[in-house]
Amino acid sequence: MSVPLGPSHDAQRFHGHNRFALAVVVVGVMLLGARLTLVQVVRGERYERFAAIERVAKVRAQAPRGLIKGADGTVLARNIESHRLELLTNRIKPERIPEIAKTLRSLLDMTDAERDGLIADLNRPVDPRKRRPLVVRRDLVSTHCPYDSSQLELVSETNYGFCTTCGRYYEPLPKRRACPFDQKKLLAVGDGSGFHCASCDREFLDGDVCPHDHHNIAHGKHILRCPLCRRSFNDEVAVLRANLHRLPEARVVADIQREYPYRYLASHVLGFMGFVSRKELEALGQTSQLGLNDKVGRSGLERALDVTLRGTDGEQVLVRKGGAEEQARDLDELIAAMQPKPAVPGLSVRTTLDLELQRSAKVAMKDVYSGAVVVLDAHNGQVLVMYSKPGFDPNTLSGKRTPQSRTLDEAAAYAPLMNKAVTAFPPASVYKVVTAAAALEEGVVRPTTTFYCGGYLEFGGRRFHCYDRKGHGELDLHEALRNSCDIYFYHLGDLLGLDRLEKYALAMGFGEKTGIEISEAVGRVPNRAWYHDHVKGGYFPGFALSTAVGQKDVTTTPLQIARAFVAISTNGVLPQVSLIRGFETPDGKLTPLPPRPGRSMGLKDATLAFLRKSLVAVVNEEGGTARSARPTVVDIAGKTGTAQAAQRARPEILEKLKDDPVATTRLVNWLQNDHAWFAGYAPTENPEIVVVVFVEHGGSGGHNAAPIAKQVVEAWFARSRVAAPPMDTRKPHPAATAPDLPPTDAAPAATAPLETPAEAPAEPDPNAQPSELLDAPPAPAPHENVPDEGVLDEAPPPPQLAPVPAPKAAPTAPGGPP
Amino acid sequence: MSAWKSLNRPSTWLGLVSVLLLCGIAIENLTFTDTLTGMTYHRTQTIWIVLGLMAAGVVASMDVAFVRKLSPTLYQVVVVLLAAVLVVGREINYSRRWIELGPANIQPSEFMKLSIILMLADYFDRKRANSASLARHLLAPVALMMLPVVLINLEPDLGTSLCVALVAASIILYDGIHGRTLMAGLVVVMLAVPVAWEFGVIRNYQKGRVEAWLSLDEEAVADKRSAQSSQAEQALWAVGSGKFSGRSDGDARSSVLRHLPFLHTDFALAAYAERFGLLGCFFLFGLYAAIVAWALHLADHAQERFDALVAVGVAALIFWQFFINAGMVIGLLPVVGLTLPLVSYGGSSSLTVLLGIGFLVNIATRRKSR
Ligand SMILES: [Zn+2]
Ligand SMILES: [Zn+2]
Ligand SMILES: [Zn+2]
Ligand SMILES: [Zn+2]
Repeated sequence: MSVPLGPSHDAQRFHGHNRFALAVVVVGVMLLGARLTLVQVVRGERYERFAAIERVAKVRAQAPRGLIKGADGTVLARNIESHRLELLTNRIKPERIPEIAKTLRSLLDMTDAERDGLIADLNRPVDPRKRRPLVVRRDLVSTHCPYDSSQLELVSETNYGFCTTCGRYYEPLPKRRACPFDQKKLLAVGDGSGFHCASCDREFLDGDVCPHDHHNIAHGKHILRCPLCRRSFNDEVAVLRANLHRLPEARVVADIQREYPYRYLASHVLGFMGFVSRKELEALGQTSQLGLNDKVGRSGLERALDVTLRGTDGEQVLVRKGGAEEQARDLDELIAAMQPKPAVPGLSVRTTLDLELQRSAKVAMKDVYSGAVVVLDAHNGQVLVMYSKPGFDPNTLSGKRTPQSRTLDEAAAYAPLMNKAVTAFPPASVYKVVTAAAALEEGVVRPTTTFYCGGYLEFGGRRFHCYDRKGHGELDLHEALRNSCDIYFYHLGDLLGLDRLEKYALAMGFGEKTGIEISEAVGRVPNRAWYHDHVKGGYFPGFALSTAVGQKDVTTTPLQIARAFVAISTNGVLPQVSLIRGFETPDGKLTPLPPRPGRSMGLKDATLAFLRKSLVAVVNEEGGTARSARPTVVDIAGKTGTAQAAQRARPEILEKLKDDPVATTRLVNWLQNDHAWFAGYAPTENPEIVVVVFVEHGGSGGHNAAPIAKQVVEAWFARSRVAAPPMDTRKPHPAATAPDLPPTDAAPAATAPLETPAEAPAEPDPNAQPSELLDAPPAPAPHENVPDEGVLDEAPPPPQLAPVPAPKAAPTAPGGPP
Repeated sequence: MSAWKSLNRPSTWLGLVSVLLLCGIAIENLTFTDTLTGMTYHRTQTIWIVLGLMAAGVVASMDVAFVRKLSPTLYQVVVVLLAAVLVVGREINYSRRWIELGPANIQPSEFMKLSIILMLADYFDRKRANSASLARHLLAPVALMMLPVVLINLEPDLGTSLCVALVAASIILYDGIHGRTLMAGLVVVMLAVPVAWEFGVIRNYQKGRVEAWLSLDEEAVADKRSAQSSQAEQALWAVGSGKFSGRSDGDARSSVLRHLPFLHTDFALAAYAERFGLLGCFFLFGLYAAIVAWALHLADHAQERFDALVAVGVAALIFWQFFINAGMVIGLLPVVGLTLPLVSYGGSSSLTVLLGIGFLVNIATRRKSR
């Protein structure tokens, strides 16, 4: 029942309320009108401009990264075009995931494990606002071989079968069921008509039906073939693009990939690239042009010169039309107002590396597990060779695909990422030149002063041995250096004391950075304060004796020794060592780095002359410890060193190697050996080069290091005397890129926590893809003691996902002289 | 007095013509936005408008006593549906608002807008004699209001719950409360806002919108260089581009609105304002003002308390939605998910408003002459 609104109190009240409501409405509409006037009339012009800008997008124009070149201009690191496949996760409906995985599995030749990983990735719940495209493949094949980065050739070949459904290429099935490329046994696929070589990843087929999907095989298609490894490829980019209609959630994006054609040859000098981490971006702050999809140099020159190589990104103005972004052609005015900036390409770096000599060093080191060779130009301290073993393939670390998804590799136990040329180790007898120089400068002995070596010396209640237990008898300083008699130098150490030894070590450039462009260890020149802080019981005079022969706590890098030897062999001035000759603009103009002055060691000419004479004797006189290094082509001078360095294998490495007793035995035995050193220069008059060879746990300096130096010196002079033709700068030498290794079954091996040069910041690669890192070339069949060339060298770094452990100083030699 | 005679007045014609013009603008505007979104919303909307006008005709000629009797039941049914939607509702854009009924999705919260008007009007009409009782006069209506508001906010649908709350509050205030109570109510609301802000009743994305609105500072964007603006900013640029008389080039593809989500719903006004400028917008505002004024006029001249309160409710429904939506598009208010009545795309919403218009016509036929 309704109550009428009579002419009552209610009606009066309601009328008042009605007026008020009307007032509210009027005020509200006026408020809107006023605001609208402000927006459309007062600020209309400005907002119209904003709206116009909204149509135009300023996008980043990425600067091409500078190249890294050898001394002769050979390109060591370059950029190649590559393509990546992304899935737009925000468009993927859950029910489509199996279908997408199935399609990609067939198009991309994925393994089941990869497919399952992809499904897991797609099913992982992600905050919808944080979704980013999922990168399925970073290096789709279309222009370069994924195995060795050679430019692929398009060939017509009727002997190959091509499955139009899954995109696989099939080689004709050989009569013998063995791979014609590596003689490995073939494994049957499917019904038995197809075969697969697990070692080199090739497919073989007898018949016209694909064993994977039972579709018909086409013959006589064009294929892409690698001129180097002779593999055939399907143009994955073309196949994917042709099939994108089946995968509306996917897209193929052009990308630039860093590529290192010489792979292992100079990997430690070049370094590699890795994705910049979120943390680093935060640390860089707003000023950085980097984004999450960008890579930065992670070690070596790539890292040291990252900013120079990277260049400066520009800004490109794009106008959106019809939903797509197109390069703007009209709207010139607007674009000009947006002030687009062209990108400034990064400078290319011309290094000082002599690639041919570097290769000679690599070959000379072929029987070595681990070590380094440094060759300096005696005239200016430029680094001609810096080779460290085992190496790694920077392509793999930078995200390239390698032949197989293998497990782990034995080489990881030998610290492939560590640049041993700039890592500090006990120098042993090589250090005697420092002691001899100090003794002569301080006048504690004269060259003619003799001491008697009876094989040992009693000092402070301890017995210090000469390496020659029989004793050298009576010798003077020259003979003591030549024969590397420890007893003589114990006497010098005692006479000089630790402080004076330290003074001359520092003067000769030890215990300090050499100033090379890449990160390096400082090494250690111990003094009383150091012993007080680091040794229980503090300083003990016997420490001076150990230091005098380069044992116990003194450590130096091969590069520091090489620098000191440049000074000794020439005018006593420590040169500024450098890996960089100069910088090149994109048009090829080389701006050489200005010569930088060295620092004099402050030694008298007489001292230097004496040292030189003794170093010549080491190699050339009867009784010298490096007679084995005496080359035929040229006179060489030098000093050997054998550092006691027996170590126990780290438990975590043994744990990783536990399934491979042969590798374990090899590692344990290896660790028992001494470090072998040789440092020398040639020719003895007007030296051209200084060579330092360090073989980690390599045995004796005279027998194991000096011959390597000899080979390097011979290679240098063979070339300079014959004036060999310059290197072919266009194509990587196969020997450099793909050492012929015996592809046998992979030996499961360890992921060693890698060592980095002391003082060098750890070099983690947080974004590395585990599957890519795990790809490893085959290890050798277990044989003898010494692995083959390439075995360790070919070894890729282990899946190093966690940050590298704290930098570790060089292995400490056990106390007491040999 | 015959119904026709009661109807045939300038105010009625003004109101009805305004409604029809708004319907026309809706279809024209959707035809434009469809060229940007590639959809066919203008056709669907036309069907809904025709259906809505027919439904309005039915309501206009209905016996109001029958509707009144039904209103508590209707309210209960919609409340049950609101509870049900939280359980069985279809989730779109992370919010459960729709119940699937055969081919159509219905949005119970839309119908609550009308239901709360009828419920409160009926309640006040019956309880008027005991106006002295605070419990009867304030607490019960507030409870009737809060139940659906809370349920809708759980979906979550802040816009609609705000709309229901404002409509209900308008009716309660129009019916009249004591000054003291009003003050107390204002204090409670002013205290409730920071509490809701702190203790999670306001969701983070909603806070973000408020913060974005507070930072919609023209000086900060005066040197805008990049194309990374919020929805609210893009809408504002579009409205501004309309300037005094609208964009002359009329190139739909060059509109900044092209990538704006909710262009056909929440931001329909931005598309309209960009094309017709200040003049067009004032015309549009005038149409809403005319309808609201007509409804208030009817409330002033209603025969019965129920009629008056229903008319006020419909006026509030149209005005608050219009004010909040327009305020949001032109940067006067933070972004709230509310549509522009009749002009925005949306079947349930248009049907609700047109049914409200039907009630206005119904009331107009029984108005007292003065
Ligand atoms: Zn196939
Ligand atoms: Zn093979
Ligand atoms: Zn190849
Ligand atoms: Zn001796």
